[in-house]
Amino acid sequence: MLFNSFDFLFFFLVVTVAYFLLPHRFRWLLLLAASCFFYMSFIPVYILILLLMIMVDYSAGIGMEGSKTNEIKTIFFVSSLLMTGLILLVFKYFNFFNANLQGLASFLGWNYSLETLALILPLGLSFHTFQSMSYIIEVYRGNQKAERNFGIYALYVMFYPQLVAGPIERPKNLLPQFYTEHKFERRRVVNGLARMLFGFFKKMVIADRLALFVNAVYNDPTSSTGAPLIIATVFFAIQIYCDFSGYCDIAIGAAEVMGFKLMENFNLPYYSKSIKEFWRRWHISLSSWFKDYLYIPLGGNRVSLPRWCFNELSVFLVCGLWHGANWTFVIWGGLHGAYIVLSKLLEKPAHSLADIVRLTKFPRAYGAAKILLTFSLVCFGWIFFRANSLSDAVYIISHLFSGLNLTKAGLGKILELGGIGTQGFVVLVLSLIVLEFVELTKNNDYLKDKIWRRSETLRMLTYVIAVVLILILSVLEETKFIYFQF
Amino acid sequence: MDAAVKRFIRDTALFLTLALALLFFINYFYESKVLPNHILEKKDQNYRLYLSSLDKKQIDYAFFGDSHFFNGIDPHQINGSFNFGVPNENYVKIYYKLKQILEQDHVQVKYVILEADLNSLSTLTTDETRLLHELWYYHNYVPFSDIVQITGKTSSDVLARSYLPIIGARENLVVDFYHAFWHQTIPELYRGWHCLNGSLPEDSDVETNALDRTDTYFKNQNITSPLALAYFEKTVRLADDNHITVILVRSPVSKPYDNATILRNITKEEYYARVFSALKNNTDDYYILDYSSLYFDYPEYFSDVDHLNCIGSEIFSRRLATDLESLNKTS
Repeated sequence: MLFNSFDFLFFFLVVTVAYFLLPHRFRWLLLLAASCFFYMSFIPVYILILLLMIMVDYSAGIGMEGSKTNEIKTIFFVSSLLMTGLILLVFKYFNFFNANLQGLASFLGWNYSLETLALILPLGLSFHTFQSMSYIIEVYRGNQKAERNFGIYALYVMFYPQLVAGPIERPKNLLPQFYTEHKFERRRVVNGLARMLFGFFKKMVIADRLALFVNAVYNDPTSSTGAPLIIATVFFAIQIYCDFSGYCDIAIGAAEVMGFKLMENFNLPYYSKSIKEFWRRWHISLSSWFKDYLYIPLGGNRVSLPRWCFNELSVFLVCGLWHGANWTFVIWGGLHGAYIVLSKLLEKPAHSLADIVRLTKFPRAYGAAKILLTFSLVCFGWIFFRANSLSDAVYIISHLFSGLNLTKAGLGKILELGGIGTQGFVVLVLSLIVLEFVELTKNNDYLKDKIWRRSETLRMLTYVIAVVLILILSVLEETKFIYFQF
Repeated sequence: MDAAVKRFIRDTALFLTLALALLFFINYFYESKVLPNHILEKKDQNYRLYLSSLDKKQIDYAFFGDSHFFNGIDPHQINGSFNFGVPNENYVKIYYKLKQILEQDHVQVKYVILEADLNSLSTLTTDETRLLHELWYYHNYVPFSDIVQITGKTSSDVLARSYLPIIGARENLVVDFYHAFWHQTIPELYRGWHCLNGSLPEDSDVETNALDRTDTYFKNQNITSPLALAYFEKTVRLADDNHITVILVRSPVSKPYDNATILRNITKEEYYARVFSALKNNTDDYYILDYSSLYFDYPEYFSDVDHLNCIGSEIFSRRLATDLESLNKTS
């Protein structure tokens, strides 16, 4: 059951109404049952894997808390991490490592014939394993009390709005919320629904429309050179943002309707002035997870420069591998690590250069140049992220600027790729203007308080028109969210 | 009940009423002004009109195929025929259309002429945008459970798209309304046939166009879609069950198009072996007519590399009529 389906809308309506009708003490049971149903609508049998993981981590949490010695506590901790790691290895990484070992063995002339596993990756595996690991680590560190109610712990891992693609929650934020009684608050419910609506708009009107073009180019890159490759890469940057942040808006909005506050995952990432800042604004729940549980334990930035470089590169390589078992993702991660290391090493020369060309005298232009440079670097990274194979990525990079056909006829032909066409392009541009307007003004108090909140008629009409426009303009092919594959 | 809940319910009811009213309002105009001019509706009107003009509900030659038939078979030249060809047609649609004609409309059909061109069974014909995309039309002919199974869409999605065609109409909606209200471009049909003007230009662009067309049909596509092949077999079986003779026809194509398919290594022999075997396995009463190379030396008969123009269509249909007549005598 995808968020962008009529089935989900019906499911959400039924669960939410039932949630508010039920007494508080039964609500967690309803949410757990709904979450199981939601997860089982994909591949039912995979819920057993999830249950196994929940049982192991739940027991490990209680075991760690009850341990009399640090050794026993560590045994529980390591066992739980190993179990999670094993599940990840079998379902996500086995074939990747196996294929690479096979390649290496064949290169060395060894006999190696371990068969590949024909397994479908459980939906959102990387997300809920990281959420479970977050709980285990916090309990091990003594920052979090072990959850005694098995159902509540299961709900922490399975809470349906964020089960398949995050935000990756921390136990400190989410677990107590299941014990809090959430009363019906009209304003909060309306805000949550409005946020969901905006998420649907991002996903179904913008991301899925862009996907038509991006897929046409990236699934057959050798048919294009120059402009289509550049446009497809920039389009993919917007697509993945609208797709993932749209999903998060729906997830956060759905949770907000019921009174839950999930963490924010995006904060205008493409307005970042450096790659470091980009990672503070992009997929925040994942980047903060890596920071708290990998980067800081490795020593963070309170180490020597070479060690810091190693830390950054390691974290980003793992981050790349987290996204997918493919060299394209590893390189994407490594590239971001390299960006951060190089930007630190070249910080002073770069500033001196900006001084020499007097760019620093014009702070706005300097800022805009930084944003543009950061966006270009991020787009370059997306080539590896989106390409179907390493050879495709290499082809795209080597043909980005060859055969640029920027004539009117050439651009017209480009827009026909994927069937977007001129009208579709106009819809796209208008949608992007709406997106930017909403995102840039959402924290504007004047607009919010003086105009938006005062005029109920304006709000009502806006929502009505938005719903109708989304239904008409949506690309209704029930395309999955990009991050569901992780 | 809490005052806030009451207010919320009131607002929600108002919101839903307004949203649904607006949606149904636009949908009403779409259904009453745009859809009647849609080729599928026009074709239906044409078919009903033709049926009502007959003394006996009988069609001797029923042609099923895509734009190659739609533009290429001129029923003026073939007595007792109706051209059911529609652009972007596939065998799933053909099967249900034939079923409707035979079982619901109770029309007697003597010969079913099926298009068997290189692109007729490709995966392109059954991709998501072509499969049963016009659900507002096909839900009248295809059982609901079959639509859900074939398209893989959820029941709610199928229901919504069947009864509210503006959902997912996208930017085309504006263009469609523009055409409906200000600039009508309704294709003229005669017994389902629509002729194309124009002729092949005599320059090197033709070669490029032929390659482009071949790429459109076959690049990143499988020449035989298992779904299309399965429904091709079902169509043949349906005809056989109703004692109808099946005639497979390969439409004429231009020489540049044929060259392009060779250049792109389209495996014709393998494809036709599969199609003919599917035909033979499901009926004994069949003929195969191959006109693909008939007009290689007559580029003036083509509107583009694989579609006959008005003149070509007329000449080809006359030839086809003669051949069908002699088959009729033989059988």
